[in-house]
Amino acid sequence: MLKKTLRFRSAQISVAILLAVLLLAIFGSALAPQDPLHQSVKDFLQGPSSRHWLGTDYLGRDVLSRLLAGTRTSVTTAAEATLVGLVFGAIPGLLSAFLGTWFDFIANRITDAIMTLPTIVFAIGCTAVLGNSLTPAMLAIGFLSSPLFFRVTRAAALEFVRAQYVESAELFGASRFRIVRVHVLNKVIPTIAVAAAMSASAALLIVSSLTFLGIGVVPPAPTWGGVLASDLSYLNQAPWAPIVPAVLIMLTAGALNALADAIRDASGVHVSLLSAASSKAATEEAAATELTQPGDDADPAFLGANSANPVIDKIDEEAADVNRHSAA
Amino acid sequence: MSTDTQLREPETSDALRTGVAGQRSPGQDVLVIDDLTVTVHNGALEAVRGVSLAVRRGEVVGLVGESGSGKTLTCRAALGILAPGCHVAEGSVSFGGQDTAEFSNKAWRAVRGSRVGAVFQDPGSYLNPSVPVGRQLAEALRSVQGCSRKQAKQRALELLRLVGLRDAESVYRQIPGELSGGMLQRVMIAIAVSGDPELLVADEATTALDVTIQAEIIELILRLRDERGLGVLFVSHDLAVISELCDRVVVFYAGEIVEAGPTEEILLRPRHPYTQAMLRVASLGDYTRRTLDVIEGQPPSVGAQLPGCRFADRCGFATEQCRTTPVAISSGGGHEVRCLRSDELSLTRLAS
Amino acid sequence: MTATVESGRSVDLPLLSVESVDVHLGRGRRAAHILSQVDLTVRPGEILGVIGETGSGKTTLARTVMGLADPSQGEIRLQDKVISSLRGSARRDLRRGGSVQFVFQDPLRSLDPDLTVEQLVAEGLVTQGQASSHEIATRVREALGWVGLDESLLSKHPAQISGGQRQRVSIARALVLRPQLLICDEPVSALDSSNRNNILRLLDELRTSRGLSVIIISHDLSSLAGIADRVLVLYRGRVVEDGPISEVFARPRHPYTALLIASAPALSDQLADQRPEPSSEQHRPLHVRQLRLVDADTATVSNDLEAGCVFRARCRFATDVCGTVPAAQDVPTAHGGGWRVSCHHHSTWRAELEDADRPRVPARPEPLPH
Repeated sequence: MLKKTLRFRSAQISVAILLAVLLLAIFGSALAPQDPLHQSVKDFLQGPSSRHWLGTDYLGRDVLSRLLAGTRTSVTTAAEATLVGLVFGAIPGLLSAFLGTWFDFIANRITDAIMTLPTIVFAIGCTAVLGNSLTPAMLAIGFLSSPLFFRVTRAAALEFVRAQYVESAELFGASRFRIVRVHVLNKVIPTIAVAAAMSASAALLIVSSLTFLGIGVVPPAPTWGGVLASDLSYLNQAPWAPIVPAVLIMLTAGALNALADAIRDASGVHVSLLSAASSKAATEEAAATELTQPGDDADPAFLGANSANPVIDKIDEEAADVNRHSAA
Repeated sequence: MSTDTQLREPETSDALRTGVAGQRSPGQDVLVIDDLTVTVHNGALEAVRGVSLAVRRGEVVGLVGESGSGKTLTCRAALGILAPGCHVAEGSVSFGGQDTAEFSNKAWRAVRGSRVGAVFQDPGSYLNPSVPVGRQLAEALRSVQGCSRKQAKQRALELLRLVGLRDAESVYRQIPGELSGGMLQRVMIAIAVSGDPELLVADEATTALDVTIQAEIIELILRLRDERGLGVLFVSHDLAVISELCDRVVVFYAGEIVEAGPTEEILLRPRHPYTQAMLRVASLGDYTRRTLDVIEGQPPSVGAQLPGCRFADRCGFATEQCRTTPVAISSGGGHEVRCLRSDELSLTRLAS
Repeated sequence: MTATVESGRSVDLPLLSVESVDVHLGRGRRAAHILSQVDLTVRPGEILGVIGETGSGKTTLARTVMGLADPSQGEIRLQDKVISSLRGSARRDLRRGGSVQFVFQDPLRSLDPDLTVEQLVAEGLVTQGQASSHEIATRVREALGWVGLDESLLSKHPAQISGGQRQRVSIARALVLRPQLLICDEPVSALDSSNRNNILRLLDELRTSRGLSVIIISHDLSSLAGIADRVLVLYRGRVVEDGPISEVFARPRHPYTALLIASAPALSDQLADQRPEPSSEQHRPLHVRQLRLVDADTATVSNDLEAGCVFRARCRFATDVCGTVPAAQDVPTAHGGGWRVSCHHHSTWRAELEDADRPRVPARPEPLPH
């Protein structure tokens, strides 16, 4: 699947951007031309110059150095939050599709409860209890994003739980674990990857909003979001200033999203192939119940898509057949 | 009141109707496909090559062949609904003398509404699952013929009765999910003949149905042929259905017509070894225990370039010449065959 | 001595017996009665055909035998072990044993598109977890050989092979576990005649070479005629006829079986006349119009399987007595093996037809009343 994904141009560009960001995360502090914390009152809010390539902020600190040095914190926090969301969301989501109604019911109610928590207040609470640093804040953000992972994973897994090959594996006496591992996991991963990319880009931005409140990042430590936030306060004096941190955040988030799209496209063939799967016995059951309760039980899914002009919109089965023959 | 009179109502569309009816005389060609070549993969492969056939008024023509033989592509080309990537590369399709090559989308829509109707294998997927079937039929009538709401409903009920749905009033109000496959297929036929077309194209229209229902649909198609002079192009891989229904049979193999002629001729005196092999393996309502014959080998892949006969590799009678020389269709007494050795071979239905 | 007794018994003992099984699907108000009082037996090395139309419950019957649906009544035995009451790990152990295998109707859906043919065929063995990887590789190749597939397909995915090959992969996947009973749900309905005969011939060969018992579910009678020994006809959840296939097809005792046979597409009449006629006048094939009830109103049929004969609404021979459920009655057979029909009029309807109806059959289909 990885190979297939990398065949997409967008995936290649995304991977290049993300690799560059990763390099910055590792070597950013070393690459910074000046001390990111060094203040110089007389140089505040300067435009780009040979000394300060990207200008200075309201305390006269070098913006380029602050961005380079802040990469690591920003990337780590985003990864932390996503990882926490994955653990608390994707795993229960996968289990929920397989462990039967009771687990599913309870997991769903817990998810509903988490979704009612207000993000900022919860984050403030967490930092109050666990101490004001980025890790507790990101734990909180990740935890709050877990319902997204839960829902997305569960929905994706449910699509495959009823697939006939899962039933067929059950008839061989395969355990739930084996079925998830062999038949379901690889089909759900693209969906989870899309959610993870979205969640990571969201986390990058959330760091900045927390910085406004002085939560998580303790000044003067630099982050992308922090640089952006401080620049936004001085828009009158330096209207160009937010552009660079914003572009950095957008590039990274955009690369993550594009990669997620490419993953989805690369695996999309199977998704469409399988979504039609519905067990035949279920059709029989539906047919039988329809006789008793007309109108009550008609399942549009069995009838396929609707169409205004009956003649025109139908996937050309023969053409599909032709494609297969010539591919073989 | 005969069904024919029923269908000449309502008055508003009388002009259109007499115009169409005026063109109709028995035995006239309603569909002519001439030397049709269809390419797939944006022209990379020729999936249908040099197909010529005609459907006359009041005649059922069967296209038979295995999957991938090009019969469905041919009938889709005839309807102007080829999938993206598929194109008519050569040849022409014409309805009642009008070449479809110049048709705009609008002209196609008009033709599909009034001169040709189509029915496919899976009726459920062509209907909106949440709208009562009667209303969908009435809407089709209103958009194509411009009748009023009331007239449309009345005509829809008549059509539902015409296709053998006895309790038309209640069927009119039911959504597709409440109807059985056989009833849905009848509704689709009602929609297809709603514009009083000259031609009905049925692509595997009975394949998914139970045998008892299939028998009823076959009777319905035959009745429409007799009562309304409908020409029918019926596509199926089931030779037994074809033999029950069709006046003429066109046998497809690997994108070409290999044999065509009156049903009785084809079934009793097949002249192409492939037709004979198909008859040998088909289940023709024979319930005695028998050896199950197969046609050895696989058909050539779609669009394969072969110098000679495309069936040669699977043919028991093939000679070296068969493999190397292109074979043209030869016709004699309305029985066309594409085989170099058709004159020397004396094939019968049951011999192997 | 015990050994002799046991081996003697195993010949007579049916491999599979389904006894008075009822199946309801769904719960509470929505529960639908899918099967009622279904009996069937399969002996070792026998091929049983199960015919019925959409919604007759034939797939549910197969799923019930496989333990994918639970009977609300009755029991299913494999040799002398009751399998219908197994749950949890006992059921899983039975499945891992692999003695009963199921071949799904549509291999495109029942084969995981992400796995290769080798992984697909090996799945049952890997799940069993007993064979070494070398042994698995050998047995996978052996099973592919049984179904006539080339080893070059091993690394292919289901989408890369033809429909007939996919169906063979499905069968190989079942055979690799060396089952005693194979249940095939419409194994050939998606294939053209040549491939269809190929698969059926394969099943017949496996029966002979491996002593395999096979249940073939189908809505197509003529494909069963080629290979099945016995046939069981289901109509709306009930067995209406069960007997030796050649005798059932020659002279069906249930009006529904007769209708099914008459409805199957055949050579048109003038062509059929050129076939050798059946010797006895009694065996003359009936025409579908002699058997069809013209104003059958199936829409209003009650779904209660206990409210009389299930076929009565479509049966032109139905009388008041058909308001009660007919008991299965034995019919004498020429070759033994039992022949049971559930029809109050099984011995009289045909006479009624031959006396009165033949001359009245209209030449063309009846115009429909308005």
